[in-house]
Amino acid sequence: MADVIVHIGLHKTATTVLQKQFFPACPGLNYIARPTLGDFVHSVTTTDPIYFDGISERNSLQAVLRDDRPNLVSREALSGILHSGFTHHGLDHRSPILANLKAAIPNARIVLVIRRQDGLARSLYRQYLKVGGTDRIEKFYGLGGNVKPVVSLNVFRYGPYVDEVATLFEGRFLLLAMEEFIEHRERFLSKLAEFIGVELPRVELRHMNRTTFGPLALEASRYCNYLFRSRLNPRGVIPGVPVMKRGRVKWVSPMQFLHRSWPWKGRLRAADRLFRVGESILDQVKDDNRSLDARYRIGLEAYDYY
Amino acid sequence: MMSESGSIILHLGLHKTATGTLQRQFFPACDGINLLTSRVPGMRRFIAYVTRTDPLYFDRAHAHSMVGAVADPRKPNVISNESFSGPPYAGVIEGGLDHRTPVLQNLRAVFPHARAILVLRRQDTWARSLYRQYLKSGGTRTMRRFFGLCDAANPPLFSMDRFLYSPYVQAVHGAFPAGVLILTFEEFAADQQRFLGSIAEFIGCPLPRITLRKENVTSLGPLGMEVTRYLNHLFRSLLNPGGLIPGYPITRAGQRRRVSPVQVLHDRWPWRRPPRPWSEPHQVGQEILQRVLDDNRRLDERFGLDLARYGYY
Repeated sequence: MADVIVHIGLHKTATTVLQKQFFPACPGLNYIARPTLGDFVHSVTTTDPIYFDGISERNSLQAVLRDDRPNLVSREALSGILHSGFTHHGLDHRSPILANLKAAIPNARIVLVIRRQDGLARSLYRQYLKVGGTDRIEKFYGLGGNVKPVVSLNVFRYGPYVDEVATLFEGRFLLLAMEEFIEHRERFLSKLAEFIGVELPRVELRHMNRTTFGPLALEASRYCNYLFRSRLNPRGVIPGVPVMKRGRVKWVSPMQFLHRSWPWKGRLRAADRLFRVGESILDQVKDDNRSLDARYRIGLEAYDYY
Repeated sequence: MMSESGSIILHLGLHKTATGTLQRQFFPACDGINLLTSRVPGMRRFIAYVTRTDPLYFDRAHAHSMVGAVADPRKPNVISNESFSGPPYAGVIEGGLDHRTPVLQNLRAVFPHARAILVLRRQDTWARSLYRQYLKSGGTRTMRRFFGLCDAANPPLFSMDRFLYSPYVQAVHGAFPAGVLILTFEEFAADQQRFLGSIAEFIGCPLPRITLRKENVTSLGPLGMEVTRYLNHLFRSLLNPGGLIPGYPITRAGQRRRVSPVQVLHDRWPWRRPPRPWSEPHQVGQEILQRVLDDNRRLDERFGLDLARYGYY
């Protein structure tokens, strides 16, 4: 079977930059972009393993694979569906996806990029507000009292997840830290290119998909989201703005555009709620980070994971 | 500890297979069992933990500690909750999201020696009943949209995979090698005593002398269902958070909730009209049944459930 590398995220770890700028620029790589993938990712991420037909999915993928070069599939949803807990609070769904992926591409090699949990928590919440969410960050993560989370705190415990990836794919995986991408980009990309088996392309990556709102603007956008109807706030009174996304009309909150085009960069202070929640989540997982680093030696200590 | 063999019996559902009747009337009348449903303090948390946690992060000891206080090591503990066979509306936000395997893995991790009871229902009437429940709970989609039968661009809110029983039954057998009792809802409807006798025997208690009354029955015909679907657009609920009218508050299992008045209409509608062959619920049900006939046949060949008698294939 063809050599397939699957980049499974995590969410908010420069996945869009890699998907839109880095992977397409890699020489000798068959990068299978989103439209070509068809229903593969949807099927892998939403089907229960009891019903998942790995052989049929493999056959459907076969048409776009090439035997003469490495093939790469990149979708962050393969590390879990971001808002699956919206209806059933905290519904978590990582291991069935890995089981399905293994059934479909048993010899796959996996790329997984993690991010320090305080930064990830803040970034996931920003993304949530950007797409129309209205819950406060404490409620979003189910912190304090009897609050049910939209996103399970388990997603911040990388150890069990990385172990599962390592076991299922028999060690054929590359684990990187997002902080390395920020601080030592050349090194990060070289490791990635080497793992994929291509030459490092000469490409200047530009920022994408960034929201620069400070805490005050974020809170203001949360209140504004109440007005606009979206997937995460169906009770909004104003229908939102129609946009075409992958051939389908979607109604999105105008706040999304504001998040994208806000020109000033807000500064996060230690007293801000967003900062404190991130810190508190990081504190809860430091032991897990330490044991992860002990097992896989990826230099997490240098980036203050523990 | 209650992990010793035979002390735990898990009633997994399915949804809409008289689970409410069994939980509120039959099991409480059974002598010598310890019934654990979501009404028992602490069990709601346990059920949520088992049904929503990824097995990667599932902590068996934590789950044990939730049940330990209410389980009785001297009696068979019957834990009954239909969400053990999958949450019914997990696909509302992410179309078709299915979640059965993780629940089985979690249950097996806590109760490796448990035995399980699973009640199936013929897929045409099951589909109709699930859809009725969806409308009753505030849903606004058409039946075809609910099951993803419109077009490929609109994924189902309820995964069609759930109608394929044989892979699930095999998985249940695999998860609970100590014993699995598979029954059909049609047997409950046709010969209640035999159905209940099978359960009592499996649990290991005498069959209680009890006449079960119907519960949770909605008798709205196709037209009434369509009217309630339109009304649901007005009322705010879990399944229609965009409704303008908040609904009215009720207390259920100790928790305050706001429900659509449509729910009352479903509960109290006095006239019963069976679906006509040309009505959409009937046709959609038939379409779904046609898709799974072969799977039903395979299931029957493997487990000898007498499904042909009840029109499963």
